[in-house]
Amino acid sequence: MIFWKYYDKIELILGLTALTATVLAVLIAAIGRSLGMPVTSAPQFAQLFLIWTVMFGADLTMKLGMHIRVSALTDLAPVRVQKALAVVHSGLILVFLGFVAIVGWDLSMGNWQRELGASGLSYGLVTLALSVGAGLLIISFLRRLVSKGFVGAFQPADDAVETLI
Amino acid sequence: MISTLILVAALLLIAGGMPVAFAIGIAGSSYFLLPSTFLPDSTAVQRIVAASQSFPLLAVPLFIILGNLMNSAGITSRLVGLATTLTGWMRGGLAQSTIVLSTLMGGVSGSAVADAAMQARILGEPMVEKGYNRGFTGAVLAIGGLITATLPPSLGLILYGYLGEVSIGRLFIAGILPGFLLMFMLMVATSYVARRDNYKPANDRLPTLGEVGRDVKSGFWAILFPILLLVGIRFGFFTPSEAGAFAVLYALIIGFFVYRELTLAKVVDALVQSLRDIGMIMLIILFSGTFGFVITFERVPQSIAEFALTAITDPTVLLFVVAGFLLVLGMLIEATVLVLLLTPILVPVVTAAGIDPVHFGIVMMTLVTFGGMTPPVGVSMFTVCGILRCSYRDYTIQMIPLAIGVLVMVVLIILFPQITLFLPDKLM
Repeated sequence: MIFWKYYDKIELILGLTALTATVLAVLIAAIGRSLGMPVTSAPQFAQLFLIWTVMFGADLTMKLGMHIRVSALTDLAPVRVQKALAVVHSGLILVFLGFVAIVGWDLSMGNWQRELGASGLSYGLVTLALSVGAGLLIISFLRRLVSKGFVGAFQPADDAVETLI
Repeated sequence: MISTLILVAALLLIAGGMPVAFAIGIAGSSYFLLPSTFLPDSTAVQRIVAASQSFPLLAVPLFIILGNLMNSAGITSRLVGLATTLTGWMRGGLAQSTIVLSTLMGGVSGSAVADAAMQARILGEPMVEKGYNRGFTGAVLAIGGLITATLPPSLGLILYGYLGEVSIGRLFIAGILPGFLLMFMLMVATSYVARRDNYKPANDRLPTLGEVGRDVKSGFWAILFPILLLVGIRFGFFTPSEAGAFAVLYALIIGFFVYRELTLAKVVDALVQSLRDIGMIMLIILFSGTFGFVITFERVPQSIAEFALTAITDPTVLLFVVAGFLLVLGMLIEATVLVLLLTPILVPVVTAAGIDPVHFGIVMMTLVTFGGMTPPVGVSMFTVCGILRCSYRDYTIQMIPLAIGVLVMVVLIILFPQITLFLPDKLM
């Protein structure tokens, strides 16, 4: 689908932009402080870009089915049990993300007047990231359910297991 | 009581195979939807947002980017050269060099699994070709990664410091001696295995000063980095988050202008990989915001502390009991998840018992990370054995001497808190 191709590309570019902006904002904060000229709004910008980075990154990970999970136990279970669990989990995840998206949106609109530290930006932009991110996650999860089915939606594209610590 | 139910719900969802981030988010948020909770539902979402609004937390994405940049910047390959020269003359020289390499890399990367995976790809097959047992190769590569868990800049210690409100700078400096002690312990264990299984040295003689000098020179900018980092944090030139930003800049400059191996395309690749890694790990951190709030709100640490401290009065005994508990949990549950769930509970408990939270942090990080290298559920083990195609059974038998080395080191740290506290007390 040509629509999804552009959709994915735009999302990746937005995510990379947010990531780069986060790094730059911390760098500006750090350089400013070491030169004795602290840029008071830079940390706020960094934190704002961070939550957007996280939500875009989380969605990219969702598209690949790579969110960390423990599959050791369920892999041993019969296929029917696996399927039942996947159906229940899918329902819970969608309800939870819907809750986060809607409440996040309300909070964001309610907080629009509140200023984000010294940056002059609205605190609503921070909350908005969560709401938009949850919306993106819902879309990606539904896309996976359609293309991979209930059990496959939770499994990574290849068998790569990743974690960080 | 309610918080126990929520914890059990989270664990059940995780065991049932739900992605950890969602399991924790759903269990934590459900508290706010209970009829007995008088807090508004929106508090759940507010806590998730609040979890992201922290400057110290910015160290996590920055060190993730750094880890991904290191390979393409040519830093890794130079450290491999140095490690091989330094230890090639020993029995089991290749295995020893992977341990030294983990120590060198530990000063730059912060992730045990990333370290093990990288080494398994580069050094795994060459070791097997030289006659090393596949299981042992896997074990030494995976467990060597544990050194990165305590050496700064360890991602785990950043998270622990952030959640437990413990100074990340102190934690970083406290991790140095334990990191080197662990390297020593693993080298002793490897040397025992090398004798037992008759692994040969890679070189037939000691390296000459000239050879060491050549490799130190070629890896100079990579070796200098952790030193600059620690000096900077120690003298307050920058906070750990700022250090992360400078580190990324440093890696870019070295990669583009000094080693000239970095290209724009490689940087973009590293950023895309980082974006995914950040999304994966930090979504868990954000969603655990509600969970941490419930635990604090319900005064769980205080109840546990009261209970534990009436049962056990001696801090060392308490530390051993908690360590045993962490070792078992670590074998079953992923390290990041354990740190996120348990740090807010355990730090107040151990502090009340008179244990320094910095000391405890090093013990906790070592044990929960080690759990990822052991059966039955170990991400490092799965990763390395996946890359090397070694059987879990073989891996498990071969890891025993190394595991003993790790446990001896943990016992030493528990018995002698000065191993962790000496440097931060002297320096900070």
